[in-house]
Amino acid sequence: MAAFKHNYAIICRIPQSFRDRSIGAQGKKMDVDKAKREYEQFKATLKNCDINIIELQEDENYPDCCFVEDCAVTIGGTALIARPVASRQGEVGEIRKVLRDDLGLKVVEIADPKATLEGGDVLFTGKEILVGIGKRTNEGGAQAVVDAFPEYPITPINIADLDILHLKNAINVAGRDILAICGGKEGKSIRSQMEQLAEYRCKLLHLESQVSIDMLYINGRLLHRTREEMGDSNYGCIDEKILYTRHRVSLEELSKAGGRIASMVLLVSKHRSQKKIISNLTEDDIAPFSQFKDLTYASNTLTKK
Amino acid sequence: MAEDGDTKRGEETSDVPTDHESSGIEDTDKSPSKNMADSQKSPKKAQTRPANTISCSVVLLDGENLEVQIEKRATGQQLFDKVCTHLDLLERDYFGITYTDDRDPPAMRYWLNLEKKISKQKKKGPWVFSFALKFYPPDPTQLQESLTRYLVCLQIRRDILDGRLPCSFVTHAILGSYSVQADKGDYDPAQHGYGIDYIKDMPFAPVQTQELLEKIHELHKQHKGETPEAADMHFLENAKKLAMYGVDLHKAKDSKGIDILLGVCASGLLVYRDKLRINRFVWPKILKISYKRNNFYIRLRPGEFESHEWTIGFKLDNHRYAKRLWKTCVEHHAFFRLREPDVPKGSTLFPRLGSKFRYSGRTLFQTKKNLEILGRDDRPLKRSNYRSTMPYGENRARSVDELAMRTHDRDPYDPGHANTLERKYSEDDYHNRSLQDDRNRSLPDERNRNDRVPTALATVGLPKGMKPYDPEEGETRTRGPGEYEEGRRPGSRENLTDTADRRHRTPGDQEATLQGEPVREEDAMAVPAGTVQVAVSPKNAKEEEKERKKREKEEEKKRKEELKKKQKEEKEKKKKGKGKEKIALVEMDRPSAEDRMGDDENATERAQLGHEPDAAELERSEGVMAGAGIARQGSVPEKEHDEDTDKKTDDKDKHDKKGKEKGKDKQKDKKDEGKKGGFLGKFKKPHKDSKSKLESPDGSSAAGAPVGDAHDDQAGLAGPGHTDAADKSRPHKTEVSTLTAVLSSASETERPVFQRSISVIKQEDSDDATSKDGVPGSGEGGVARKDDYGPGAGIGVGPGYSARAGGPLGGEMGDESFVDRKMFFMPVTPPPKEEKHDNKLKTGLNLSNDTMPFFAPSATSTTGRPGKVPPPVPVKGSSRGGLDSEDRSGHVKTDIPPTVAAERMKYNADLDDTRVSTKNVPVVKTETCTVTYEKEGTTGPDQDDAGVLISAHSHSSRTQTVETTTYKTEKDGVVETRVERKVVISSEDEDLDHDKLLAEAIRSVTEFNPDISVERIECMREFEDSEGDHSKYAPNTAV
Repeated sequence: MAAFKHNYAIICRIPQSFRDRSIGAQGKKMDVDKAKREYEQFKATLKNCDINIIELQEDENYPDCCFVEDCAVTIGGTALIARPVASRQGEVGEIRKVLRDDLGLKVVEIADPKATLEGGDVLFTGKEILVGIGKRTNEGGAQAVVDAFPEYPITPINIADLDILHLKNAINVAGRDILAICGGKEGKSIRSQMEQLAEYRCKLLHLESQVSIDMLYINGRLLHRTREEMGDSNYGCIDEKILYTRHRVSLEELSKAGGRIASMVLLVSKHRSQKKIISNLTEDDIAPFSQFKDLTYASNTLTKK
Repeated sequence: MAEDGDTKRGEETSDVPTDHESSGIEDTDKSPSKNMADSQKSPKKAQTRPANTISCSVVLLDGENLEVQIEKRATGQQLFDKVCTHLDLLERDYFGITYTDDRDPPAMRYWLNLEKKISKQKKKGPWVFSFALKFYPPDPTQLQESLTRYLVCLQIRRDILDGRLPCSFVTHAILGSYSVQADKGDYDPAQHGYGIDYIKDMPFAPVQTQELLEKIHELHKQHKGETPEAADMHFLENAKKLAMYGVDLHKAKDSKGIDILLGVCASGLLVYRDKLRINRFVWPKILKISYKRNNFYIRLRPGEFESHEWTIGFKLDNHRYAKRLWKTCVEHHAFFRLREPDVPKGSTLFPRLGSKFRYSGRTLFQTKKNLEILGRDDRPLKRSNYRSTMPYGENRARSVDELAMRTHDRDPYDPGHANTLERKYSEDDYHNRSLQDDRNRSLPDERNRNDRVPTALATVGLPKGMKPYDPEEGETRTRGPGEYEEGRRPGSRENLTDTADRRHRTPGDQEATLQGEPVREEDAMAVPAGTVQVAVSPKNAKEEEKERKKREKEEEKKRKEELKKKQKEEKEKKKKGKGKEKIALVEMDRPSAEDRMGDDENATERAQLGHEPDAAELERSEGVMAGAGIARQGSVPEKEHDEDTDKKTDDKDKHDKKGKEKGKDKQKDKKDEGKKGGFLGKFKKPHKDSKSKLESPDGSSAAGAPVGDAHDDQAGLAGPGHTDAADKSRPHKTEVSTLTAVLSSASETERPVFQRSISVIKQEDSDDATSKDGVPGSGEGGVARKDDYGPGAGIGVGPGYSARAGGPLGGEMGDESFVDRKMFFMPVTPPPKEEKHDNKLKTGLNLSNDTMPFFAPSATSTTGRPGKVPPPVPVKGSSRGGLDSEDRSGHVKTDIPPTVAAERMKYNADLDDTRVSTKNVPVVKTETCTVTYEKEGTTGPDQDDAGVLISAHSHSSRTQTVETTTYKTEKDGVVETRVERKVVISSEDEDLDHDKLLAEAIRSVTEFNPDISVERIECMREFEDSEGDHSKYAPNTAV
């Protein structure tokens, strides 16, 4: 079962309170109507993605409740309930209920009381998991990911010093074995850490802005922002590199509140009987034999000069 | 455990506590002082050098506690070789032996340096060791032998239970379900009851809940049809992806004194802090590793933008741990990264202060290459042994299940009888055989292997005329290993063999090449088991047993009587027609046959009982060649063999060696098989004699030569074309283990074909007989039959297995893909084979074979499924009487109108195309009749949901039209694929053998896919063309 094959998408309507309480909007009033139009458009796009949509009722108490991604991490039949910042923790309950009761996933909770974790910091590449440790997720949260998904190599990426809220602000899955990574110091930092730690290789699609790497790979399709939002050069790059089906989504208003395409949806791949570990690992990824020989053994540092 | 323990006890009285099976056994070891006593016990080694030997116990992966007598001065290699020989492990470079140091907690295990003396390493305490997986192959699914994969599975299961390999709930469920499938076979409410009670004693996870068991149970139900080998493959496919797979963790502190874990794995060194991987050093990144006192250092290659090399130090608790970590790194690096091991430089210019330790074994690269050279057919796995010995409750349960399963497989109809009988035998035999087994054990595998290579050369030199015996060669090979195995596990023989057969049949596709040899062994084993089940008794196995037990003698008498009867019956059958014989053979495979007509019963009994009967049957099938005479001869030799049984054991070893050699030769030069065959035949004969199973071989050998020729031709034809199918057929082979043995003798390509042919009931019987009996004649016959059937059976079987394999491997879409393959299967048998059969079988055996296949498939399928799902069984059970009677009565010329088969198939396998051709056979007049066989408890196709039409194909040949319609239904998340196949046989040609065609058609359906159970078979026979609504087969006969 390959990764990125999802059959359920959980989304949440935009509450009216989104107008003025959204955390990402720094003092600006949001255009809720426009945001709702974008949401509807996004939903329509999603419907074309061969997926069942579960739409949750908005909760006026949580203006960011439309960003459902942060509430949980789901891979295969396992769902790890996240622990977002305090102001959003109430959103988790509904998600938990849906995942556990409606979808029947194996729900895992975070044991460590000090841990924080938001779904936006967890990037499943299909082979391993990158966890951004920064503003919204701490090491305890990364630990929780390890505990919940011991099958996958978990690579912590330190993003505390970077100017991004979530890991997925700077890197996203663009396709099978393809990661889109933004430019600037964010991209550079993440890339160097990945080279050091990540176990499996994948192609990197370098784009300039964070907007341009805002994408969602789902069921063989790629959702990304419109040409107007990401700029011609980035769009052209995607045009050139991504040959499979693409859908364009405009999130002009929502993105002002920190919204991203991926943050709008919680994807679930639910199989009644999962017989394989969800992973895109191929034989090529598994330690190929190599005839390099460049290591010297010394039982004692004194022995060799 | 009991089995092993018993056998061991036979050797060594009782020093080691058998109860301590689990890994923690250390305490239970014998003290050196006891060794003396032990030496007395074990006649071989102990007697020679009682003073210098010591008994040490090695805990195997399945929990078996192996007692080994070894010199005190022995090196680790000697011990390791003994253990590997015991396991019959070829891919041994991945494994190692661990010991504990008194100064460290028991959990801290050290790898035994194979080059150094054991006494230098294990200085204190009892010599208790553990056999373990040392180098986790990055892709264990590519291991060549199913045995090796099985061992890796066991290691991983241990790792999971130990918590070394953490998994989520979902993964525990997935892996657990495959473990259950491998251990217990298909889920069968009748056997396992409803609910999760049957797995509640199996350990799956460090902490397992009711919920987990329920989930495992749910998944297990969906693995229906997977052979243990296939289940192991799926297990490994998932396990290898786990993040911590193959990571050897060492506690350490970093330079800041923070607790970390250093993980050594195939790709390099990993650093974990609080389970988070905080650093990773791949081998190319590391320039040097070293240790000093309790410090461990790695020097890193400078990075892209760095100019300096870095040296990173870690602190371990003490110097021993540091050295242990260093050695582990050295070995892992050498094994996974180097092409050949690093030879320590002998430079004496500067005295070395440190350890000269280097990895001295083969590297991954070498071990792979080595195996390419050594490669043998996949050996039959005797899991029952392992599992039965396993400390885990699961294993025990499994062994019981396996026994039951075996019986079911063989005798789907009368499972109860067979089971009880077999069990009794097995238990009794255990003790008796233990001695012999021990002897067998003493034989080193290496010898055999070595022998094989030279033999191959020798075989080349053999005259071409010998070709026909190729199958025999295979038999000999198989026998060799089989005998060996048997010797090891005396008790297990019967039971084990059965299980092995089943497993082989079921498992697997991928392993086919490997399986060849193992299959043979299994076949041999299986035959005895079959006989045991019958209670009549397999003569060969029985012979040995007889010596041990009076019961066996009685059984033998019965067998002889039965044989006589069978011979008579055979004659009668010949008269009546081949078809009848075939049926009889089929029945014989199944215990239920007894219920059938008296004649049929006799025939069946013979088949089941004994090699003799089987051989006779085979011979019969061969018909033209030896005919009844062969059978008689076979029986006579068997008797002789009985007498010679004592001698046989000794001879067996020799024979085994020879057989192995032959096997090697065969492997090397399949083409030369013909020539070799002659030699093999000769060799085989002696082997058989020695084994006592071989009794019939003499007679068969004569017949065998011609048959062999035919086989060669067939093999040649089938071999190339069927290679693909061979892969698929492998599972079948496993099922047919006996057949495989024969096949093994043939070229590898041929083997698959043969295995397929095995599906034909007669062939199976014959194979079993041959393998078990060791009778060359039977073997030859079996081979010939196999060859003949190879195409047809191969087709049928191939798909089924492939489906299985494909199902798991291919993933979700397997069902759909299979449909096409099914189409291919439809063709009954390749013409060339038929011709051969005709020659051989003209007496009437051919028909019998055909009919056999018809039943055989069910048998095979049952065997393939550990008894949980007796797919064809229902047909047999309810309708058998009717079928049998019909077949038998009608055999003469009116038989087998029944057609109609509705199958439910869950998995479809890829199939190769086969041409359908039929010739000869006297015209049979038939009345219009419709016979419907339905599986008990299954709803007719009508009742089933219509499902979605996936595909409809029709394939027509000269004499038949095959329409295959595939529906897919999803119920409760389980995708059911129902295949309806309608075969219309129409002939304007009087020469057409309708019975044969019908049998083939039915066979093609029943064997079609082992994973698919046959729910319904309708046979309509009309003078005018007609098509039944549900009838898959509507054979029309025009007179």
